Amino acid sequence: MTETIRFLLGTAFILCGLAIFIIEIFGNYHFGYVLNRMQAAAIGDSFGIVLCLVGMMFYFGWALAGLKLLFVEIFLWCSSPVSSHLVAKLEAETNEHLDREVKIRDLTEGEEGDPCKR
Amino acid sequence: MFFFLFALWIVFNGRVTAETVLLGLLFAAAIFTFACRFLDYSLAKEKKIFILAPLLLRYLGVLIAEIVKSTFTACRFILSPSLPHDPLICKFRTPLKSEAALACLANSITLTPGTITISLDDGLFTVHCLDKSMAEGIADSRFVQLLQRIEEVAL
Repeated sequence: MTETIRFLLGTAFILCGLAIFIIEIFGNYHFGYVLNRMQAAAIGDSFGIVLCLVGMMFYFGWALAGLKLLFVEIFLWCSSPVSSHLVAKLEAETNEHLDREVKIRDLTEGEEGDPCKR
Repeated sequence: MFFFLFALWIVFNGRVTAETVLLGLLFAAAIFTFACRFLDYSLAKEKKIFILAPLLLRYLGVLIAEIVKSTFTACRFILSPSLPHDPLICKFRTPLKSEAALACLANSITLTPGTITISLDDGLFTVHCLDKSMAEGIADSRFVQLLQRIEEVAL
């Protein structure tokens, strides 16, 4: 009985993760600009992969393999933002016409409040 | 850090025997001593992590909740071609002082789908948002409030 519940929970998590990855791929084609595409990719990097790993942890059960997967998740969550940040910085620094692609709002120029309402 | 290193040793070994535990304790102690001597670690800082543990766990909870929430928002923008999205690059400062808190906030913003930290220079954040609604209250988010509390306790 426990095995069946573990199998069902694991499968549910992995299927949800797969669905997130499919949406991510669709988003990569749907968006035209690199920074927007990165946002689509971030869905899979941060949430899709975690759902898949949690699903696998259910399959392995209370074992060291599950703990290994937890360490993989921690490592991914620490390293993935760094690489995303580097790619985004490269685009922002090399694109001379960044303001044509995306609006730029500076909150530090003495104006307080919400950037969206200005 | 000592406990983290020891846990890492046990996990990579894949089995718990007296030999692996003793060797793990020895190597974890050796690496921790090295870190204290050359990498600005100390026992006092280790103790602080235990004091901060409830706040750090709460931060992790908020991070996971924000990731789940933002994933659904971002998925909505991807799956609804008719739903217009208005990308925005937003620059802002936060009241955070320590470099660790600033780096933690930058990583949390990037981990949350829909927002990416482009740069962090002298406390000035430059963040790309998939839609302007995602930039609402970004300079005073729950992340910032919790990190401020962590800073107050730690400093």
